[in-house]
Amino acid sequence: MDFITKLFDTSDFPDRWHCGTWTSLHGWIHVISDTLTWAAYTAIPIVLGVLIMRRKDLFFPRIFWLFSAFILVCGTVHLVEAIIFWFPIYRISAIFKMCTAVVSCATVVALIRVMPSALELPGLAGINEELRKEVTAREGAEQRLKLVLDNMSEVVIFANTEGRFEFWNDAAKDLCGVPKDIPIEDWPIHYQTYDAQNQSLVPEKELPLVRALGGESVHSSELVLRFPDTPDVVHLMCRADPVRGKDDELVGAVLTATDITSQREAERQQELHHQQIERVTELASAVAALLDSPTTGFKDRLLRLAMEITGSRSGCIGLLQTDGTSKASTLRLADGSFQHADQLLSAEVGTAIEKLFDSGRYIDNQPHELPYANTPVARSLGVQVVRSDGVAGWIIVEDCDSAYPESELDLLERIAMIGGPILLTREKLKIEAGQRELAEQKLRQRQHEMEHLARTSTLGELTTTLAHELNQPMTTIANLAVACSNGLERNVGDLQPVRLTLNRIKDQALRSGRILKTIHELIQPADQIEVRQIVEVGQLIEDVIELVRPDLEQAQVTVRTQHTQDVYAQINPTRIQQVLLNLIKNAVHATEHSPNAAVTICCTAANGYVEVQVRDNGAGLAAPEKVFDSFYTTKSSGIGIGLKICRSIVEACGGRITAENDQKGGAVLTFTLPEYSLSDAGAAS
Amino acid sequence: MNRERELTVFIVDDDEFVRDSLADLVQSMGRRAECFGSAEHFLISVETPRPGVMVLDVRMPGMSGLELQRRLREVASFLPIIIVTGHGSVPVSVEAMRAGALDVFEKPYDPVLIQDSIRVGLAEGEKLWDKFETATEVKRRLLTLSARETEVCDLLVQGLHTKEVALQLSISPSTVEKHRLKVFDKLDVHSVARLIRLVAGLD
Repeated sequence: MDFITKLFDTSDFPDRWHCGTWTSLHGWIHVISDTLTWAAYTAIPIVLGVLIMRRKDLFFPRIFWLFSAFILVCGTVHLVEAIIFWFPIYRISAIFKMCTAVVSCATVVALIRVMPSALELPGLAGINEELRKEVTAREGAEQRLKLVLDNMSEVVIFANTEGRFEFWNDAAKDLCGVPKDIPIEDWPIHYQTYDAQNQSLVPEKELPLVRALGGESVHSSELVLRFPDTPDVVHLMCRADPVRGKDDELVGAVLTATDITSQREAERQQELHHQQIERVTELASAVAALLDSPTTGFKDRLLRLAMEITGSRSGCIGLLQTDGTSKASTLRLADGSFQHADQLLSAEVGTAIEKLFDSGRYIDNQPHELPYANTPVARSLGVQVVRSDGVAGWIIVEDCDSAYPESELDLLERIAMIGGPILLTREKLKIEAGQRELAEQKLRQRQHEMEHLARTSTLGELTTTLAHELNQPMTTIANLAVACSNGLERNVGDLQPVRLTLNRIKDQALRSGRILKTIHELIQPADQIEVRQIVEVGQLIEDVIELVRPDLEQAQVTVRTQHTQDVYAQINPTRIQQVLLNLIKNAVHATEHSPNAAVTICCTAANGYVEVQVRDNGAGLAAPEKVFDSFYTTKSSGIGIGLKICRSIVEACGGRITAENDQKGGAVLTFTLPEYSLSDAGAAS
Repeated sequence: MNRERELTVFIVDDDEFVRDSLADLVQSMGRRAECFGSAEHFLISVETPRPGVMVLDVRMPGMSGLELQRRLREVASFLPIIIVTGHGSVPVSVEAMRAGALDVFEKPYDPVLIQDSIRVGLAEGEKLWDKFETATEVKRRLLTLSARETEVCDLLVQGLHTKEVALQLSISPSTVEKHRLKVFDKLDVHSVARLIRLVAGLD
């Protein structure tokens, strides 16, 4: 234990200067060398320590620490050796030497332990070679990377933190239309950047690269680039990311962009296609509605539809008639009103129609003036409506805000295809209806004439016609009969000609029958359908007088009427008119030679009967009791059945007819009809 | 005898049955008949004068029977006309008779009576035709006379003697006589009396 307590005790040993014989030189060499060795041995671990602290990549740092310690203790041993020349601290020396031995042995052990790993550490030349290879490989990789970037269809641009471009690939150059060898400083800035809708300029701070330089990652930002001198635009889908260094510091930003112009164009086309499909669908439903609509105004609506579908402000629709002239053109003016006018088919429209019929369809997007719109407009579009037997109509639309595309023509053609045949059919039907109307009108006219004849012809006149018609077959029969008789006398034995002649006689007899039937139908059509109507008798009388007024005026006969108002009878008006007509004509005839010829017609009602009296101031009746007999006549042309028929008509109506002479001269013919009381009818119902 | 010269009954009536039955009747009498549906048809079809008789209906569409009768009286007075009327009106009958109708029948007539009338008409027509033909012949021959011969002939027909004619024309009687013989020769007559009858018959 006294080793520890006597550690610094020098009393047991002489100092070195006094242990042996030292020359001063020899002693000082020892002292100085040891001191310098110590100094160096102390400096080395310090430098090594700094190195270890600084170089993280050093292999085996613990060995370095051991090594440092070993050198340090070795140095200390040397220092102690120097000190011993004056102060014999051998015990301290022993401790340091023991420390040196322990650290040395530990270092040896450690060295042996790392030897296998240390053996694997490359030599410096190897390292250099490695490095060279690595540089070459890196250059190749860079080259490849550039190639890859340049061959990418995507645009790649790298900008540094100051916003300056440091790299851009060929795709970017292509996009800007600049040569591949353009220096990086000459980035063109002649394009303008718009938003995805290609409507407004994108402010600079909104640009993806600028945003990425602000530290933000931008994905799927669509931009539109517009270039001067070309209407084409480029749609870009951009992505921009900030680029950071090892210590997460921002070193720049990279932008990648894909040209999606063709994709957008395809989408736009598809959109257009969709729109067109929608319009066709719309058209189909519009046409369906059109077909459901009533007949009138079909043409107008068809044109309106064509104009709406094509977005035109005016148009015209026309038909060709079979004689080649145009008909019923409908024009829509810009103010929305329709005009039907052929005269508005001016030269311009005429030319358009000619063009139309040359090629079947035409587009004219050249500005021209519409004759009816007073404003210069551009563009027109036309198709023809074709019927199987040729051109029969046309539809032209004009005055649209934009040029008509070819597809509009297809659309218009579809409208024409659907609407045209209907239009033509309706037009044809209209014409046929017109013709039918005309025929019906003719028929009515004839019926009217027939009725008029039936009303105005007296029976005497009709019988004259009848007599003439019947005379023909009668004469023929008589002729043939005698011819037959002559034949029998001349050609006894051959009866064939006689038989033929007799046949002809029979035919003529039948012909007479047919004539009688026809006349019968003519003069008594009302017998077929007995039409009874409630008639105001006073009005009936006035109507008859109106019918015969020309005759009365010619005969210079004054007619007076006196009738009670609102007297009704349920009769066949035509038949009673015939009766009245006959009586008036008889009266006119009777007053032929009388001065101041006058006929008075009175109508009164009494005891449920209407009484009508026709009075003249003529010569009067020679035999009033005989006038209603058949074949009694005082007229040279009459056959004497007029009054008899009058009587049968009146009696059929439930009335009576009488004839007498007026005491003052002249004849009085009176007939009665059962009165129809409106109040009775009211009570009955 | 050729068709043009044969006595024919010309039937003009718009009613085909009446027309044909009358033609039958005429044929049953053994006479020739030709039918026409209208006055106009007759005028177009019969251009040269032909002998016979006409049975003419009054009431026809187009030209009436009375109008045709009036026209024929001017150009073919040799054709007797029997009028048939359906009207039976007195004024028509009177007008027809006044215009020289042979008979007027009202339909329906008795065919036996019209048969008789046709017979009379044919006989009359034949006579008128002969007279017409003679007159035509005389007219033709008169046209062959020279101017002087015509003057001589006219004066002779007026009843002048040769000497009176010579005095009138201031030529010698012998010259008149020479012309007279020429006229007699050309007109195929042998006496002045015959000449007068021929020429006077023309009027």
